[in-house]
Amino acid sequence: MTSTQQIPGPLSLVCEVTHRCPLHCVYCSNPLVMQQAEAELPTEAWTRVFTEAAQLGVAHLHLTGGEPLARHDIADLIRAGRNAGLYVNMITSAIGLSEPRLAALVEAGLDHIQLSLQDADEVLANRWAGARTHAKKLEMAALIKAQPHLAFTVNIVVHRQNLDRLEEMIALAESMGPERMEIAHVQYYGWALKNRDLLLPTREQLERSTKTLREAQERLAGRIHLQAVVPDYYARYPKACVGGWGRQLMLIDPAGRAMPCHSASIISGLAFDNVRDHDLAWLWHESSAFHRFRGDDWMQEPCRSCERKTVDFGGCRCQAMQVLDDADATDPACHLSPHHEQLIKIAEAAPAGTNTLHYRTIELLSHS
Amino acid sequence: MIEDLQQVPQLARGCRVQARSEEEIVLLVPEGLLRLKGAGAEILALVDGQRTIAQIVETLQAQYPPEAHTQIATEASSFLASLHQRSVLLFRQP
Ligand code: SF4
Ligand code: SF4
Repeated sequence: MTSTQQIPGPLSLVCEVTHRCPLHCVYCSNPLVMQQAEAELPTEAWTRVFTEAAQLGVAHLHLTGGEPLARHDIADLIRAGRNAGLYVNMITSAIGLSEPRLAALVEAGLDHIQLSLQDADEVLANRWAGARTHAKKLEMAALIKAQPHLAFTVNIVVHRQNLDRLEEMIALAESMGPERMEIAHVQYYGWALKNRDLLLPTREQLERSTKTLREAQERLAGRIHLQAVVPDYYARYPKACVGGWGRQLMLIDPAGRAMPCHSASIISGLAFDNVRDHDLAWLWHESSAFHRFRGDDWMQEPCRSCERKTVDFGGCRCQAMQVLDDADATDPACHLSPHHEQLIKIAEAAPAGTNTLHYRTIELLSHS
Repeated sequence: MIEDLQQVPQLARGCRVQARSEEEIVLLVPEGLLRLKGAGAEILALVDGQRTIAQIVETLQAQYPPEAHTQIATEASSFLASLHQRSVLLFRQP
């Protein structure tokens, strides 16, 4: 596929409406260099973006951050998304939420709320989040549970330090009353990469957790849909890059830069165009960052002649960049990659212990 | 498969049907969209939080000749079951 003129528009638009966040998660996937508050797009710019997104065929709007609640206009943004005809999802830590504020968001048209859970144990949960948030989160969950029209998902973020408490975490999540639970392993970009050696689960842990998951899935079937993603360090094949680079998703960062992926800025040589200068259709069809890994012309062997290339799209570009310093290489998580061993070694050499966690801190740079 | 046909299906919170164009009817759910082809939209239109699964099947069957009835029953209940499995439809006792 060389011509991108005819490609369909994206289905999802992820908007990082701010990088401000009261938490300091040890596995935050935001870039190490974050956007400052003053550089954030104003309400009207986001509103225009949502309208253009709907015209381009987007169905889902994901409001994320940072903490989207850090914006005072979050209800206006939700309303603008809904008015444009989009399905509006918000991913939040619930810090900054209150009963009246939740009511305002629902009234504005919020369809779905996603809350992340750091641990079953309060002290530890606060430790992973780098802030005292656990109790507040449970309080807010009770309010969300009582909302008759708002879909509710609890995301459980797992890693070496909490995976042994998976059962307790699932039980806690269950008591929060969601229809969906998502168990996600930390992805090792951004801050998490700095902490990779401490967060990567061991193979035994994973095997045990797989059993726990199966049992929970059976027990919860028909009441709570439980979805789990295996960390790709131990998988045979890499995960499909969010439906393929430039195929289904567009992300807008707080300053308005349009990106094919949330960590695309780690790939050297990519230039991002801005919604301040272009409309969404132009960005999707013309912006060079979206062309960079679209289709399969860029692929090297073994991907180029592999039949799975339309299934996993050669895996994650950011992981190839981070581990191999070559964004065009086959994702080393793939067992067919000549560098697969290198990744397994990183995974298996990881020591246990929690002494030197790097917390996300605000390291602001003037925006690029 | 569904064992108890007396259960009442209802769309879960945050799941809604939307027409994206004249030909394209979708069910919007938190994790994405499900394209509803022909019968899918018809079946969902009967899900109102009142009708039981059995009633939904009967209503559909009434619109088709008898030789299609078995097939309709199988297809409709497997469609409902698959949505139930994803927590898009909740089943409750009447
Ligand atoms: S390149 Fe990697 S991080 Fe980026 S979207 Fe694809 S899979 Fe995700
Ligand atoms: S070689 Fe490339 S396309 Fe084939 S399975 Fe591995 S990553 Fe996917």
